[in-house]
Amino acid sequence: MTERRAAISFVSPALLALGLVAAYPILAAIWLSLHRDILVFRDHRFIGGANWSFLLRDARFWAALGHTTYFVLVAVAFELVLGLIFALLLETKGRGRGVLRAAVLVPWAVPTVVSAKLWAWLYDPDHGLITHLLPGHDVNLLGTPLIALHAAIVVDVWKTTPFVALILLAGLQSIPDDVYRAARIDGAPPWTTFRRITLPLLLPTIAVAATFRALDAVRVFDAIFVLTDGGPANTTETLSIYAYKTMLRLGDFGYGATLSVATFMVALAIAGVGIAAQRRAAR
Amino acid sequence: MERREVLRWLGAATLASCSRTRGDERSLVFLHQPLWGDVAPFAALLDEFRRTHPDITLITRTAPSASDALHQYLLTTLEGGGDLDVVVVDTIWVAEFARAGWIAELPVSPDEIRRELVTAAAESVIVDGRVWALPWWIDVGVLYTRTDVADPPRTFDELMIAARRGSPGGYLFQGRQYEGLVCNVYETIWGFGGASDAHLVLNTREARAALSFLAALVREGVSPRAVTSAGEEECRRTFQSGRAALMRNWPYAWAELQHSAIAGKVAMTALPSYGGSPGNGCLGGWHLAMSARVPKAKQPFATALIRHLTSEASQAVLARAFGRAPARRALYRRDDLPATRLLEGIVEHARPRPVSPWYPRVSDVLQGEFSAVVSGIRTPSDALSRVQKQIDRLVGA
Repeated sequence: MTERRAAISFVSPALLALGLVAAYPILAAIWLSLHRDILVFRDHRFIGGANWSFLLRDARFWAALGHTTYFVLVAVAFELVLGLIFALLLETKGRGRGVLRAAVLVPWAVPTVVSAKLWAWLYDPDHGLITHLLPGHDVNLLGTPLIALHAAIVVDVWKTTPFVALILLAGLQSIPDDVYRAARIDGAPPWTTFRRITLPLLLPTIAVAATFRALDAVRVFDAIFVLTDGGPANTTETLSIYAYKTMLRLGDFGYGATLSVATFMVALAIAGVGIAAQRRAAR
Repeated sequence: MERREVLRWLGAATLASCSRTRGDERSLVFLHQPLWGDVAPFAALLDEFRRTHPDITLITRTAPSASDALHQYLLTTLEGGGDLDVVVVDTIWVAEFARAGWIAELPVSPDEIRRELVTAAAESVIVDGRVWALPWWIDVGVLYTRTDVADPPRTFDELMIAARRGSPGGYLFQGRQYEGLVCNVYETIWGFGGASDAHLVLNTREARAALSFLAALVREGVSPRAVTSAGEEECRRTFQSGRAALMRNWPYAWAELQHSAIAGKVAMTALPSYGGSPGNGCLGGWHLAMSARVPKAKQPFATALIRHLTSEASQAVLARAFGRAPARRALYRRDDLPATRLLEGIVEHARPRPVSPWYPRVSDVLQGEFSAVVSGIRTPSDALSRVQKQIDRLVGA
């Protein structure tokens, strides 16, 4: 019993810190989401679930949720495939491997705001390199609905594929050499080796990478903020952008908190699915 | 209440780190944005105030240049009880800040400013018959024309023809989803004879005509496709490099164009309208306001600073050294300010956007819907009925 008490006393500072920096803000945001709170109008009162029932009818929220979901699915899928290819390439032994590994990390090391600004110039309809490479030259990638979101996805894929590659590389290196040797002795061709050995043994790592990336992508803000600020016609507006505009630009803290909590719940759901997938993959 | 305390605490903590003068009755804190170019003439204006008011210490703080960033900063700082005394505010914030109780009424009579200032500038600082700020410098939407390609068009039809026939052709306007687009749309609505009132009725015949016109410009290639993501600077760069015949922009571009390849081949005129009378440019610019937290004893000093910086002499300095259009009528008739003189006749037709505490929230709705029309994914009547529904919900709620 004393041992137990000692354990609790050792853990309590960590629990206290977690409670302060994680639980308190979340609970405060949920509490705020039950209020109408518009700074300019000095309007601060409890309104129960009114913000939430409006959220369910708010077409702009559903559109933002749709854009966010699409962004997460497409971006993470590309990041996993490209990341796996990079990881396999980086794992092969050869000269200059260390330099290559460092070089691959560069996009990830550049601050997102900087790289997004860089991409905005590449996409520029007048002077952009990408615009000049496209046939016709008269395309406005960031100004055309449907295309703009994909332009943002490209930026995210460019930036975070190295991160995925690095995690998968670690996973690849944890697969023991014996199994590969056994496969060689049995005469398995490379594709079969990849499908029957590498991929199944890498699955837990892939699940981790996918979860991390999905959690990050669902809160995507900086890249889109710089590239389009949610435009054109709100077609690149994600949940974070909508929450930010509502809260900080319009000063509507009640509904802004509702949107933030909704974003948090989406992230929570993704984390739940991710953890479950990881457990199954590890079995 | 809880949040307000947190904000206050945060505001105090931030300010404590950059200032030790909080609560000091003898200092006056002035927040303003950096001016482009040589700051000496502006520093001289501030020094003049220091010389004539030795009883108080003037402290300046630099604000972010981006309007959105400054709005956010003021939202948290003024609400949080920061120690700012005199602040610079965008024309469209006056009604909002007055309603929120962040800025104080100034001891200035509405009649006085109506007499001395450009009409739109005066109207933009008067809320409920009281004066809440004084215009520092103003902006107004104008039309730039390449005179070697076309004569400045006076009607929308002439504009279409000039943009189609010219070589280079094309009409540039600000079509990105942001506040600048709202200015462009309001100007077009006024050009079709529409009004902008504080009642925020948007779904009108004139508004439908205006949006159809702008959508057609993009759809028919009269304006390059780039305008759907263009702000002021994108337009200016394209125009300056000689790739368009016409551009809607603010007066700041005039000075820039004088040092470019197309210098001497550009005219700055009033915007066109449907019928051909000079169009109404959207009023922009910055005002000086006094924080509502300034203690009684300090108010005369804050007012004196605002009066000094918005005086005829100061506005002349700003016009000459920094190319800022003055709010005072008298300055438009002076021979020593040639660039200002060009705007005579244009500024009197300027109109403010709706002076309403709801405006920032309404504009957020307008930006998304107008962008949808310009980029061709929604019809004008569809977008306008969506706008009206959202505004009615906001204002009625």
